Amino acid sequence: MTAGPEAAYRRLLRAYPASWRRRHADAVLGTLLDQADAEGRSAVSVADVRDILGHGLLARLHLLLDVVPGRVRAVAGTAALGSGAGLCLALLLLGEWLPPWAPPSTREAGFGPFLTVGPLLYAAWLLAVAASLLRHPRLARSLLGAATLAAVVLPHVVANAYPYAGVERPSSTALAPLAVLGLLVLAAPPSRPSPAVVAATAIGTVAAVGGPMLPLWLSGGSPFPVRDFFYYAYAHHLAVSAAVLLAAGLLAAVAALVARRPAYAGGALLALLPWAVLLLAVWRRISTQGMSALEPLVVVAGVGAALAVLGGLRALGVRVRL
Amino acid sequence: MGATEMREPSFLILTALAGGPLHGYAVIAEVAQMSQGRVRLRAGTLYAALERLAAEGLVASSGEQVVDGRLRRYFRLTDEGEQALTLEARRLRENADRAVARLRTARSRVAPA
Repeated sequence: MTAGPEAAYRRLLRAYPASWRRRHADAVLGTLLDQADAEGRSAVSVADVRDILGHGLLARLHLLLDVVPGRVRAVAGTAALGSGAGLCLALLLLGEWLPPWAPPSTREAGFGPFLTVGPLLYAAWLLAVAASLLRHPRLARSLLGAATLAAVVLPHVVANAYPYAGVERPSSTALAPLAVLGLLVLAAPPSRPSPAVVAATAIGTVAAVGGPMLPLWLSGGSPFPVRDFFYYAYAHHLAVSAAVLLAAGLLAAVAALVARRPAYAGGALLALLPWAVLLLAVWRRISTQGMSALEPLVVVAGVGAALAVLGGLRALGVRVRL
Repeated sequence: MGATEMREPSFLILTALAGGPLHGYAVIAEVAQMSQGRVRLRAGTLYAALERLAAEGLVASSGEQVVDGRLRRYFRLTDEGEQALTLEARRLRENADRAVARLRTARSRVAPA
């Protein structure tokens, strides 16, 4: 074997993080060279390039995720799975579905009986929860990956316009927390999620998000408010929803600390992130409407939630490498 | 392992190590031979799987050797790994037995009188 493939393989192995290379690079290099010899190659194969680059990048991603311990991520992932189901259910039934008493003007544009393409995303999430509970982790991961990607990409590819025409998407105010929830689940997909935790977080989120929407949905006044819920005057209701969820999460974290379950406490704190994001998203929307009275409250709550997450993780002895 | 099924590459790697400690390329060669060339592991995939199996306590490092200037790291099956492999092999055999029995019953039903 010439020095050619060895030097090339060494360069390729730089795809892995330095700490991984210190532990494994020489052993992997030996295996790569043995395999090249056995296959009669004196050059790096395309399959090796793809394999090493892919696994190297995954190793770097894991290093990033390992900032938070696996147990904490697993608890946050399970809570986020349930919370996402609650958010999707509330948005699907109360934010998107037009009831029979909706005025005809609200049906000018839409997606079947729904206002936007959002139900596709919500349905993917709800199916992912079912797949996860029925122990089909790969299917659950695929569906969650698709839903998360859609939540990130939709605001950039579909521009909602007034007057309503063509295909619309849900407001980015609703998609932002959903994207964060998706990332939390994908960071630690629970292989055996606790149905009790999933159900409790789902019910809590349906109540917190759906509560303020229900009277509006039932009233069906003109202009029918649900379409505008995330865009205009009702955004402050979502600030209340986010505040309720942040408070509930903080209480759950304190209860877990009292019960000496630090991983649960850390997980509960980490699972607050989407609701802090929702608060910030609502703040952004309210600011553009000149409703700045809520700004200080939203900023304080958002910063407080972020500090609570960081402080809680630090108290638990979580390593933070920046 | 928990109640979830083991992926085929993991199953084949553990099976390869059931015969005794092997170094990286020897595992790749054994897996290819056992699967009749169907599963051809690349080095990155192999070490990612070995790292995961080691984290689960199913395999462990079993020393290193330098041959022709190349480092060879050996891996062995742990007691837990042996137990997990036994359970998975039993699960696969039971599934296969059930499939064969059902096919036999179905064939006997459709067979002309």
